[in-house]
Amino acid sequence: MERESWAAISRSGIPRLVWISVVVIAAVASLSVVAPATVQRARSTAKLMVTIEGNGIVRAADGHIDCGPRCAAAYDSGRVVTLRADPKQHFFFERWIGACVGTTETCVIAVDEATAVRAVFARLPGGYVDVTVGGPGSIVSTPNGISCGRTRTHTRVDHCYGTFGERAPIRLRAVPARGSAFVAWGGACRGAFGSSCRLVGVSGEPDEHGRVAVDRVRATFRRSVTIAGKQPLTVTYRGGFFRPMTSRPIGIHCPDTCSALFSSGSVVTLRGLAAWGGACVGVSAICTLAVDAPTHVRARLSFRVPPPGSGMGCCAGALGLNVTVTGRGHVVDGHKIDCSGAAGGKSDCQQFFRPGAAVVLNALPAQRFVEWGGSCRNYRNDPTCRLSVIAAKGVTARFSRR
Amino acid sequence: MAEPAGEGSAGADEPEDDGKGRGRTTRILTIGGLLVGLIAGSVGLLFTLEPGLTPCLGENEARFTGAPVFPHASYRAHLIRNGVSRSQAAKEPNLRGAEVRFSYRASGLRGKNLAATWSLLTIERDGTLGPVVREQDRALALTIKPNGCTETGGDDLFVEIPNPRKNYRVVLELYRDVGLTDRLALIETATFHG
Repeated sequence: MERESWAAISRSGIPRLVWISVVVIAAVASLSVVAPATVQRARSTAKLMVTIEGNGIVRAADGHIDCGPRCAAAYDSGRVVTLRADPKQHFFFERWIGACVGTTETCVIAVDEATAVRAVFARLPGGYVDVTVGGPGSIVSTPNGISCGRTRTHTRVDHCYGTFGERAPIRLRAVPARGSAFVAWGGACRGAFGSSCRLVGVSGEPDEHGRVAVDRVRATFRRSVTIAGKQPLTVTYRGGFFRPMTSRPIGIHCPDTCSALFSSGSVVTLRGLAAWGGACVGVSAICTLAVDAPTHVRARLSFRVPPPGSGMGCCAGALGLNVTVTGRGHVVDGHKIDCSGAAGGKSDCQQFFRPGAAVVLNALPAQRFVEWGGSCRNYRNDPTCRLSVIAAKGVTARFSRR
Repeated sequence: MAEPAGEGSAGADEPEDDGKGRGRTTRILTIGGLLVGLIAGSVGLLFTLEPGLTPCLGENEARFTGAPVFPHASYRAHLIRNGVSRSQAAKEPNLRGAEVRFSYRASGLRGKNLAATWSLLTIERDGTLGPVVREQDRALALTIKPNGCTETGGDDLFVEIPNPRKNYRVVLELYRDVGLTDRLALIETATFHG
């Protein structure tokens, strides 16, 4: 009977070899469909459970966990899962507990068995108020901490930021220097009436390390007696240009145009990410001042302005530069490094550089800088260290704590 | 009479059909074989001319194959040994430390930018692990980009020793990415005196 059917198949014109191939392919295909399903049923699963302390969200890269609302998921045993912790406003990610350990926001774990992970988010520990003063005057805080600008007795006082509690009431007073008057507040005190500004705790955005809230405040003063006619504003900018320093109203576009004439009494806003000197005091991106006499502003490069395409993954064969800051200060290189000693900030303290890259590290504010260590040791207490990344390097910068 | 004749004629046609079918099969197989051979030959030629395109089979893994440590090393001498000119080395601070000469083997990681880090651990008098030196806690050493499916290599790393009277150990780690999220390998050096 079978022989007859084969004969019939042969007779129908389909060669036996082709027919056998079809049968084999069909068998393999059905096995490939059925077998995984069977294996799937046989494969064990393990539960991954996430709990949260504080205020934040943990998400798995595969989308199975989104905690908040979905904090547990079953995975095939042995599956590798990437979890990411994102803090909500006024919180920062502190650490993992359980199957994940460490303080980086991302954790990769293999779910071999029932696994529990706890993400701890902590409230931002108060924060600091950062003040910039333009013109002849100063800002003083209550409680004590800030005394920034030109006072009646000192030509320059540089305590321009203070740390305050989360809900502590802070009062800032604008005190004109002799022969001057207060003009206006800016930043977090914008719109405050008169020479006094009240803040209830520090409520600004977290700093660049996501650890400390920052309120940035600006104050502008002018001379009581102004000189008539157009007055020159001159900017001296040290430390290299990663973004031009500009002014509003337009006029300054340094390094091309570092001096310009403004109508006497004009309130000019300079933007330039700098540690300010001369008519401006403080460390910030903006200084607003009244140009009512020939005015000179010094600026020293500060903070990071990443050029396009820069980042940790610089290039093959790159070498590491590791910066550690102690005390209250920053170390910046204008590109990749912006390392703070405050609250253990570490996000931009390490970067890879092209071998042989020339790096200029600036310690800010210079007034609080004490000394360099590691590969910058030769520069001692000079706030600018120039180094060449010819090997993996470590640099320490020590600032005074006050 | 007609029936058997008809049957007889059909029976006479059968071997002819069979022969035609076999001939078609042979043609198909020949053409198929030629096609497969042509494709295989082209791919082989391509892989010979461009070895970088050869797919890497097997596991993606990396491991350190050794990390001997040489204490009491000078930073300038380390730089000169690694090809830095004497004049340039002379501009560097003369730090004292240890040199770790590590080697690794990476498989299936061609083209990846692997990141190597080091940590300096203090060792207590009783031999137990002490705290990690803050300035050298998972410090970035260098990136490694394997060019082949399996690659072995190595480098020398200078580690500054903060206190010459203490004992230390260096931990090297190798990560799949420069974000240091996916660790591939870890090795500890022997304990050494600063």
